[in-house]
Amino acid sequence: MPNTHSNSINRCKPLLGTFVDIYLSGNVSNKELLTLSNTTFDEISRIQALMSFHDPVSELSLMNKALLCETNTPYQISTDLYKVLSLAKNLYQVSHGHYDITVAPQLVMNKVLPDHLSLQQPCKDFNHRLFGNSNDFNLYEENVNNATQTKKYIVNRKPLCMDLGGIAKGYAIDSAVNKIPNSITYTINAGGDMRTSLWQGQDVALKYAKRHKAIKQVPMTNRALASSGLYHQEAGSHIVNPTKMNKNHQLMEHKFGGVISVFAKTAMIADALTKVVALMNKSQVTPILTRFEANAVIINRFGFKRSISI
Amino acid sequence: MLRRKFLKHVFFTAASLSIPIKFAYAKQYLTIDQAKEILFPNKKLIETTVELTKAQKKSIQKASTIRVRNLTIKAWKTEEGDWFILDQILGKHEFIDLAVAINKSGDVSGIEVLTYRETYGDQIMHPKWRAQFHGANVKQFLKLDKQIKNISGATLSCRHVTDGVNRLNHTWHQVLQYHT
Repeated sequence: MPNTHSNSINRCKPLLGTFVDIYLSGNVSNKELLTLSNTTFDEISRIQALMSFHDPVSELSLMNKALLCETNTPYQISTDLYKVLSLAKNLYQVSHGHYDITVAPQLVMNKVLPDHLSLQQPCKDFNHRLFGNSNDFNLYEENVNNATQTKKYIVNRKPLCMDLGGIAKGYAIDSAVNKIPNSITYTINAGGDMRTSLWQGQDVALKYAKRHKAIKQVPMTNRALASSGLYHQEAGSHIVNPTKMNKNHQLMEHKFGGVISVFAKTAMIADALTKVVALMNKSQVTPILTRFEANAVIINRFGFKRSISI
Repeated sequence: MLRRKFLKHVFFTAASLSIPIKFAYAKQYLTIDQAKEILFPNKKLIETTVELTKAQKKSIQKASTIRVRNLTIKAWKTEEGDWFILDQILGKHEFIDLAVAINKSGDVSGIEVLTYRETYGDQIMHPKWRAQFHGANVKQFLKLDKQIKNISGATLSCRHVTDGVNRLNHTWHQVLQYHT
């Protein structure tokens, strides 16, 4: 006999460097909801194991080691990593270089990221002045006879080191959502990056500073939301401007007060676009937001809000 | 009589404006029993509270470089020697209650958040004062957790969880693995 009683489950686990809150609800048994919540957490853990910069044996870290020490040599990557790198490359091009995942060496130097790749000398005869950027890698697929899936590769012409940061967090959320049947309502919130099926007519509270009353309520305009703010950072900004270098040939740290929030169809796109909104002015960023069917809300440290809409 | 009432009005209004009242937000995810069933499904768990000596506390602190706040470890043990431990770590401003599962080999096999706490709020007057004074319904002064389901902002790192797990790992190696 089908279960017609609505049940719900709400769990929270430390993952992706933050707290991941998963809420599921539907006309299924509590046992089925528990099993589904395990599936969604497992999927997030799987993506973390692929894409975490902090994990020295993640697929990303192993790829970085290869891209630092070898050039012009195709390196095979997973479909998941290929999808994320494809978006990153696309965004690099449409943002005219303002979004660039190859800024990891600067973030390591700024002590925002760990240096487990020993970037001063990752391999013999390494010259760190040769670091390239997102213009210096390409992705391609190779059809293999009788195989259902293509093989994916990255090839670089200069040493590169990439950090996927929030875009990987967003991809993990999107991948977990893909495991949830349409009949189940859900909200996944990973430290403020979130995706929910319950967004229409709902408000969300955006925290724009550390102080207790720094909260502003705004309507949700899409199912995914990502926010970027610096008020918890102890080690400086996690955002550098790839298009600006100081006299020491270091990429300039980008600091801003308040919070930048982007609503989009997927958490991956929302998170990537927060960096673009942070670094570009309104006239530059509006066509990019339009292209990705996204909109941004910016709240400064004093609580004044402005919107960049589609 | 009217003068006393007027002065009382002035006093409480001034008090409400000058005393910032924080609103503590607590989100209950799981009960202890629910966390037990998730981390050790269908297993019998025997309550095994462990009291650390001051010397053990000092030794664990030294090895982990993390402060040990409580000498009492609220824990349960399976017949195979796995541990289910209730622990607390610091979030943004308030404590977060965790359930941590450590298997018989000393590896952390799962972590669940039981209660997440945070402090929000404006300078709202204590509901009891307002209700007494204006006869208003207390519920209308409760904000956020009743109306807003989702909160977003700068990411809070779970670094303190990593520190807490480190502390518990050393606690297991130095004390719990020998506990009978």
